Amino acid sequence: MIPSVALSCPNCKEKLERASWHEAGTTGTCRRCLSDFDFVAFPALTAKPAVAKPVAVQVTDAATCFFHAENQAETVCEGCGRFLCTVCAVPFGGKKLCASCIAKKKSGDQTDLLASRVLYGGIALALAVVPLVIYPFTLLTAPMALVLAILGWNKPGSLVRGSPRPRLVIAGVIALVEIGAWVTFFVAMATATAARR
Amino acid sequence: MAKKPKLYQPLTRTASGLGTYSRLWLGADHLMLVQASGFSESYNRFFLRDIKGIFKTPSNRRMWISFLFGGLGIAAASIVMAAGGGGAGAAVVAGIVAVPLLINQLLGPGCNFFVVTEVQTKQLTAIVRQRKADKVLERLTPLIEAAQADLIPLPASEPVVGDPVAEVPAASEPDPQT
Repeated sequence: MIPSVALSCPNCKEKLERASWHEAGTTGTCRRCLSDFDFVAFPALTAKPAVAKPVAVQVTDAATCFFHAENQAETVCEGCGRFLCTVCAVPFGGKKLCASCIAKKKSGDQTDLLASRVLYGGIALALAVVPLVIYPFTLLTAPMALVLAILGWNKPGSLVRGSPRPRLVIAGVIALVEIGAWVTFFVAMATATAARR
Repeated sequence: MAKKPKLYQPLTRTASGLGTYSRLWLGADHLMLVQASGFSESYNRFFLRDIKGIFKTPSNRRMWISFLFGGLGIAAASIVMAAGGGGAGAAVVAGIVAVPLLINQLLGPGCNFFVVTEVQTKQLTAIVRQRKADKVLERLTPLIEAAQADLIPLPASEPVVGDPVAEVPAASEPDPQT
């Protein structure tokens, strides 16, 4: 059946009219960009979540919501323990939390709300390896890679690839070898210059 | 010390784009698209409960990769022949280039994969082949339907776009004669 909800072509964002759809309602062709598409619909397309309706306080000594004194408390925030009505209790990450706790999660280093992360392991490894193509640059980048390998040791790594430490170790070792090579070079130059005098 | 439980399972291998790498992961109640540049990662989450539908459109990925490797192979073989490598050298180079060409063909046709939610239609750049798209869809469909099992369907009386509307006879105008 052709979806009853207005959808847009994923390529050109044009609204998909009924004529764009083939009979079965699962395939079609956009009339503007002429691209074919397959569409798989899920229940959320034509359904809605149950609306949480707060219950007014019935008895004077009943527990009330921390944020809405006129609403009866239905649950407890699993972050801070405050009583919450059905409107204030937000299901998040398998827990019922209040808006304050969710905001605190966002400002902290909680992985549930993390939008991006810097990969210190990748940066240190790139600084150690890439400049080898034009090796004089390693005079600058090798110490930078070593410093980053040390500073990034306790930093969190990728959410999915885990700790950055293996890469930091490799970067640190390569940086040390490069620094050692430069030190050897400068000592040899100094010795040769002194010998000529 | 007990190992930390893995929060995410990989759904796809890493797909490369222009300077970025994408991979799709499955969490307890959401999908996560990870896009990385080598120096940083960004995370886009799609809760299974919010996914209204999925679009798949064909792409020309396989064709462009074939052109790329074909052109590289021809260029490399020409250089080898010009450098005096002869036919044998050119054949070796062509054979080396033929491997990724063959892999490209075997991976099947390319496709674009979009997730539709209430607020956005987002392309999952980690899925670039039709075969992988079908496998991911097969794995996700029961999970999404289970996550949305408690949603309330809209009532049947809601008008459905595209249904043939019964023609209502126009209200007859009063005959001026009478």
